[in-house]
Amino acid sequence: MKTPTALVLELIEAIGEDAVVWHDEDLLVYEYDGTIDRGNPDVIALPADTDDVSALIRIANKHGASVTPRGAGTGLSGGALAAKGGVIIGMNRMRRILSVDAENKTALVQPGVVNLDLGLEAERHGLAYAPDPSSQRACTIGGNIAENAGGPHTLAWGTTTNHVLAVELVTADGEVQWIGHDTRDEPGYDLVGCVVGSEGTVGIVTQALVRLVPRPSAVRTMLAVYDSVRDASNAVSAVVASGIVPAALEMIDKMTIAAVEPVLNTGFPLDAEAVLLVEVDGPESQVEAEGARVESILRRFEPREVRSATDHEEREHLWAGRKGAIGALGQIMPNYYLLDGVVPRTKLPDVLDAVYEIAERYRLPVANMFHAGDGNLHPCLLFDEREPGATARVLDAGGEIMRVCVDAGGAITGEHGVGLEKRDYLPWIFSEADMDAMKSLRAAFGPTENFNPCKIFPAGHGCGEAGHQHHAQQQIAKFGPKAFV
Amino acid sequence: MSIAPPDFESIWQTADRPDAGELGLCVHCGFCLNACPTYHDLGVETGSPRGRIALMRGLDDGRLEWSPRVQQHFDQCLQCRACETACPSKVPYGRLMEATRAEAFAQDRWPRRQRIIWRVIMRGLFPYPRRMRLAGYGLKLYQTSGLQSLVRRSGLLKRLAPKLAEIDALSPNADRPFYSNAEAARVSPKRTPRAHASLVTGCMMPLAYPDTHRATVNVFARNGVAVDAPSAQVCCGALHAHGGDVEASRDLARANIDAFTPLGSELPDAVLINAAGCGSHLKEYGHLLRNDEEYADRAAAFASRVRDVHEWLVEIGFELPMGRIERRVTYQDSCHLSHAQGIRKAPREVLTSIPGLELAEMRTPDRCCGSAGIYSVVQSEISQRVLAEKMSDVLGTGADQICTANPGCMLQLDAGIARFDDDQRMIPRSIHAIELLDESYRLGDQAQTR
Amino acid sequence: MSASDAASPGQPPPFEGLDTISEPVRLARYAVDDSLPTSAVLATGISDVERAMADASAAGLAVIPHGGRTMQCLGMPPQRYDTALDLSRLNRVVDYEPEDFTITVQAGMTLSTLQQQLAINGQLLPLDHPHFEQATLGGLAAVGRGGLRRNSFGGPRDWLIGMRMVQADGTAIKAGGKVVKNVSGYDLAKLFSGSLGTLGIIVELTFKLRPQPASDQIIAIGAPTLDDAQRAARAAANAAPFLNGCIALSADAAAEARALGARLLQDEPTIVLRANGLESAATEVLSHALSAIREVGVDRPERRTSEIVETWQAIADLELQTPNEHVRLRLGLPPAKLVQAQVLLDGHLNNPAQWIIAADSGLLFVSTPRVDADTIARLRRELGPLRGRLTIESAPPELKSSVDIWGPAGAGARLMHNIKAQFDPQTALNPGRFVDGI
Repeated sequence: MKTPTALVLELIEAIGEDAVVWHDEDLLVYEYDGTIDRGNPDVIALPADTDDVSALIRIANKHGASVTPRGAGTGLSGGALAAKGGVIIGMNRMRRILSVDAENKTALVQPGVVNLDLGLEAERHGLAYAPDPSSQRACTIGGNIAENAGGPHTLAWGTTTNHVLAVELVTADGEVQWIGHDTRDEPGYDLVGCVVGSEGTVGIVTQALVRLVPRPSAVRTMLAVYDSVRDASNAVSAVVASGIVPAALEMIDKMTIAAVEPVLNTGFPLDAEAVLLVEVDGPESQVEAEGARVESILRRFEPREVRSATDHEEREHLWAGRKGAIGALGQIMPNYYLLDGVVPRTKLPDVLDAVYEIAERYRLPVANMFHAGDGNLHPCLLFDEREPGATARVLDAGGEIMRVCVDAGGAITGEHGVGLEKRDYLPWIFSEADMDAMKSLRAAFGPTENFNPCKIFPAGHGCGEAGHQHHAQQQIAKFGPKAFV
Repeated sequence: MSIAPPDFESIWQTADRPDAGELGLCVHCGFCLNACPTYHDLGVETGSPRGRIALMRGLDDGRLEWSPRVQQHFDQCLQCRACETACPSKVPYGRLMEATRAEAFAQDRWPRRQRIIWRVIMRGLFPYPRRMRLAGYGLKLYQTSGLQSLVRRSGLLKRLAPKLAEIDALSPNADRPFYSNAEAARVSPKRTPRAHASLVTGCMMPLAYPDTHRATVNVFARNGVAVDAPSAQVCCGALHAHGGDVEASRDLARANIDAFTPLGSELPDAVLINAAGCGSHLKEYGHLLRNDEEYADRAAAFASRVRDVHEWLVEIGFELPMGRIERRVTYQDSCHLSHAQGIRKAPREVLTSIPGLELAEMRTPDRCCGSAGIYSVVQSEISQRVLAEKMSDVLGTGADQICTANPGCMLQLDAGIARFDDDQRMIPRSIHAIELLDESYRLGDQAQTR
Repeated sequence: MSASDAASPGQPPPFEGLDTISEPVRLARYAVDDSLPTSAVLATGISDVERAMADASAAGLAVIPHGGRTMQCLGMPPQRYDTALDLSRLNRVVDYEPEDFTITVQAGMTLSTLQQQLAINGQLLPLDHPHFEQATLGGLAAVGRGGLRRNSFGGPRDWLIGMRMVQADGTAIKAGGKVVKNVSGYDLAKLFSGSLGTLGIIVELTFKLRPQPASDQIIAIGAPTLDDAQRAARAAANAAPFLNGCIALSADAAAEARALGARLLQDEPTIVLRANGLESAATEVLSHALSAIREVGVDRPERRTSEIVETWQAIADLELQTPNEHVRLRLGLPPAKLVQAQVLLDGHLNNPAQWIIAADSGLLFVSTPRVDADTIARLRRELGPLRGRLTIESAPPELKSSVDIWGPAGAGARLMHNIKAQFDPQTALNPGRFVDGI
């Protein structure tokens, strides 16, 4: 029988037996998030309030144990994994929506609130919470803040950073402070802007004041079916260039359709090469006129079909096909490696061609479903990790794809975060000096040694084989370290 | 997850083991988490579908020992299958959990006491309609003699045997005459029947909710369907399968196949069932007996005819009721109707067809009420917390009555009303939609004759 | 290292080879509050800025970056001030990809020049700033303040996707990139935006852009009193959440705006509404707003104007209008609290004038001939429960000696000082001018 360590005992004393997970069999299920990395924590602590969080961090610091915050564990870059063991602080029990101020269009929430639950609560007040990552049924606001999460509807409304006004933050030293202001009028540095997207490396958000936006009175969702990916991506570029800002502009390719359609019956034709999902919203008259214009642009690129969802249910159905796409890939292969490159929108057709070429060269099936309007690609390389050498091949192909994005003037991640997974690729877009400046920012928030270690920046000592350091370094050797910077 | 070394000895011992390919479907995206009532309640990954699948995989590839802790995580699952609705990879979680429990049962991984109780009740009582009826009379006596109310008032049971007190709170009200399968034949359509259906009356329904059966037969007769209730039928075995007692469940399935589709007879147009939990299991008979040479084909044929009453009513079309029922009703999706069978619209269609009846939807109507077969007794603490949350959603609608589609849910929700409806606003008994439809038909007829 | 060290023999004097100014007459324009620098550097390229900062750092000189100087009034008087770093010649477009809806420009380009360039391709950057013909984009980002359409379009932080900066020691760094969505590394562009030049010199900025709307409409409606105008504007903002601007002006503000070129009706309290999008949609939004205004009893006729930019810019310019050395206050708060806040200010201030109230954005500007430290302290105290933040954007130096123009920095002060210490350990940049003495 395993006996609890001194660290575990102290954590139990602080927040209770119910809130501390430390048995080996229980820890096993905290080794993963939504993607392929693994990390094994020594203990999970589940705080009920801000004071708990502060106490937990101080205890971990005292014992020299590293601290890793975790929300729902749906992340796609290894951000919630305990790369150096230590304590995972799981925020999922702090999941209350504390208040909604409909007139000032704000909501005060705890970090464990599930994105969709906030959306539904906002809807009851005639409002919406704009960022809607595909995992919104499960992912938490705290995690969204850490990763600066996007989603299909951030094309018009912006990502999480545009929607968080203030947060209560517990920094790596255990100090608690409110930063930001109801209307962004707090004098001083934009600390909230620094925290959002910092991937949980500068502190743990324990409350957040977020912006809600008015709900459009009308919505039109269109499905356009194409026989070539080029046509579809040219249509995307044309819509963007037309000056219309659709609420969402998404592309789904053949492989994805093959995974999604049999289980979700979304009505995407199985033999189409690509479908586009385009949504316009706003006042009735705007939706009508913009919808017609978008439709005529889509038709210029020889679609097989363009149709509009006629009711709410059909619309939800189409979106279920998009948002369930990644999970549905399990139908084709047991593992996937999901990339998150982002490129200038006009480069999309060329970059997509390159993605297919690379996948073919590595003999890997690739599924693409992504935020075309933002230039944010999600190539998903499918494989079976039980096949010898498959994982290495996938990582190499992934590196090449990221390289293509960087060479096209883009970046390695648009919304999933660098995390463990892409940290060794960061030097492709940032110089030592750039990264040093980032590290100075981190240092301003407290001791960095043990707080969410091994994330974002190229691996330091003790980060071991977590992540894919070895492969990344091979890639970097192949392409040179600083092509873009 | 790492793969097992070649010399690794599998932990599974039976052919009912979880399928490795099906386990591999899970990409741990986490979409199931927020749909899972126990994850919601416990707030730990081991209390989630994703976590339990990871545990199954851990057992499968030998990384994990099957400790009592692991077993406890499996036992905490409600098997409500809400995760299946949420899952984009369509992992057959319910099937995986049943397979895991089958292994646990076969490997004697339960505590000794639980095993004894299971054998006495699930194997000794439920499969035998006569013994069930005897127990029913006992309950009736306990209730009509005033003993139950005395026990409840005294609070004695709560102190002496809290577990029994919980069971007592969940015991059905046995105040109605028990249903006899012979009753069905006494009601027949006015015209030549357009279809013929056989009703599964089940083990508990005839005792606890006999009126639901009566209403079912009335409603279908009115809509031109001749309904019979084969006398040789037995408990469907759903509870057994959920618990992992697959052998008992297969015996019951075979008995029912013999009762409903004797060799050489024609299949009924529908094998009708008004209990969601039984319905979803009956539809699985084909899978359950897939390796049974003698019964496999018959089981598949049987399963293909199984229809939930709402489902079939809407499928064949039903006469619109005329009698007004001025009532605000909220509908709780029984998990095994919505998540397991995907039937959500039909019951609502039935309800909204009734003049005067207002359907007041609660928040997350398809979240489990915590009944889950015998779960409410075995895992009563979690069950009660899940129920408390459910009741706050129910009371939030201001409804007069709860409508649902499964006897277990009804018992649980009735206990919920007794505990949480402090103002005693609600009708203390939940109801099946088919009974409301029957009542509306009757009221309509009365209005016409007047 | 101190200035005397730098002057020691053998060391080249700072800024050698750079375009510098040292004549007092020509330096006068670089005055900040009452302080004058001893030299100014006119940078024409990023390398000049790197050199200038490296030299200043080596010589221990305090530097204040200058753009169009439209908002040098903002901030506390500098504790030290040796060198002005003039960035206004850094005014090139670095990279413009109209079809990607992104542009990269140098920090010294003015907002109006940028808008003209973008207009050629039917694009724009939807940010408002006073005196946009002088205001540079670097300055706009450094001040980081949301304008009159903040509710619809946010502030500079929301449009910046990339930035190049030169750090206090002369090291050039960059943040973000040229794509509209990017979470690679920390968002240092957000840190620098609104940092008032205290962390480094912004030399290059990349913005995402918007298409020019098919239709952009402004209507103005007179109201009997400012109170009426304000209530009506709040009602309009509530009824028409998709308005792109909803302002109440006092009579004197309306008069001044007219003098500056705004096409308003008369010198009376006025509600100004703006909506854009497709023509039918903008019209629909405005008609919702108008009927809400009529419903609260404001029934004077409305005037539509086609001089959109002139009218709007005149109002934006008013934000900084300080007749006769007035003190100009800016208040930000949840929009529903505006009415209460206005009453409070009206009660405490001496002859408050030129009210501009952005009813949808929770912004209020007012000026007063005189104000003392006690009044400001009392106002800040009483605004606390309304979650209001009061900044003095423009004031004579003598007031600044007794009042913190920023107000208390709040719980984040500790982190802000840490950040400053990391990025500018010698406190060479804009010393003492920012929040909490930073």
